[in-house]
Amino acid sequence: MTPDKDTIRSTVLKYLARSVELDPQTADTSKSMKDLGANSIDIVEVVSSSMRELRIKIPREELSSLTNIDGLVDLLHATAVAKAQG
Amino acid sequence: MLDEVRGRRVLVTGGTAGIGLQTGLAFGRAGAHVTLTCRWGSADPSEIERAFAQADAPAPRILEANAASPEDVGAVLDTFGSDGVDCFVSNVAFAQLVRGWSDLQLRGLQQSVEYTAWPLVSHLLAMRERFGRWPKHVVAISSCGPDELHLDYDFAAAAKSVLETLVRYLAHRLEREDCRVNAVRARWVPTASLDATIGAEFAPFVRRYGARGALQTPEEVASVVLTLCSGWLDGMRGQVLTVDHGTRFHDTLMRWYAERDRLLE
Repeated sequence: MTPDKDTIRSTVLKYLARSVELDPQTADTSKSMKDLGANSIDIVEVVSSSMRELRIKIPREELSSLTNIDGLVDLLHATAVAKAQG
Repeated sequence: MLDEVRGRRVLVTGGTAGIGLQTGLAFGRAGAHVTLTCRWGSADPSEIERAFAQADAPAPRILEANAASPEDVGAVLDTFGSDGVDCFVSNVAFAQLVRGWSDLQLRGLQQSVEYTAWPLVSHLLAMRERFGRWPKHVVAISSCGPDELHLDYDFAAAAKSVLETLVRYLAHRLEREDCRVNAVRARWVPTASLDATIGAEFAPFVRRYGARGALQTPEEVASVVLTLCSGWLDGMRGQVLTVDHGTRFHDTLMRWYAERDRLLE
């Protein structure tokens, strides 16, 4: 089943919360992970772990243009939908 | 010369790009059974399988695993069954770049060591536990960062220092075992990793102004790794071999001075 955006957001924030102190329920996803205190290793870890759990793969070049968590959630969702549609 | 490598089971972490991939290909060409690991989603398996086929090498196994995760390390080693690993190349490296004072945090340093140096030890311990033996050859891939300035490379260099120190101490601990641990360090290898670390403009700059050989190819580094595992260099333990065409000695202000007329043209 294709994960919806809420599921994807929860997944991303679950992994982010392992790296930085935040409440996944109230985290401001219009901010970047760096704004929320993550370093570059944390960010790669969060993205990689999220993709792995969601069984999604996105080329690094596409990820590098993202500016906030909402953008990442949108890209993960769009990729999941495209994958489901074959 | 490489008969000893044929049929051996080789594990290369961070093995789907750059030095790691070329190392895997070098072993594959010599007839080894190669397993490459990479981070989830970071490699195109079909492209790598094609490269092995073109090299007339047995198809590699490509496993997506986080080298810093004990569970993932265990899962990778499970795929070897009871046969064990004959050659282990610890190539994976991942460090926090220090672009400014705010990046200079202990946590980033710890993570850099965890992803760059510790996989050497964690894999070896897991191999001993699972297979009841050590690999015959172990090679850690380092860099010249500990001894020569690489911009923003503070934590990566520190992690490589830790890696090289562990190589020497592991070699001591394993002196009575059929296991040789060494390290190979290159100076600058034009790969995506170098571009991401220093910047894409750096390699062309070195080609223009650096000494001939200041850039090494991934294949050159891979050849040294393969030779260390060939049986011909089994007298070497705990060594850190530098692949730099000798340029670290002479690619200095003195060379610039000697060649100033040409360089200032």
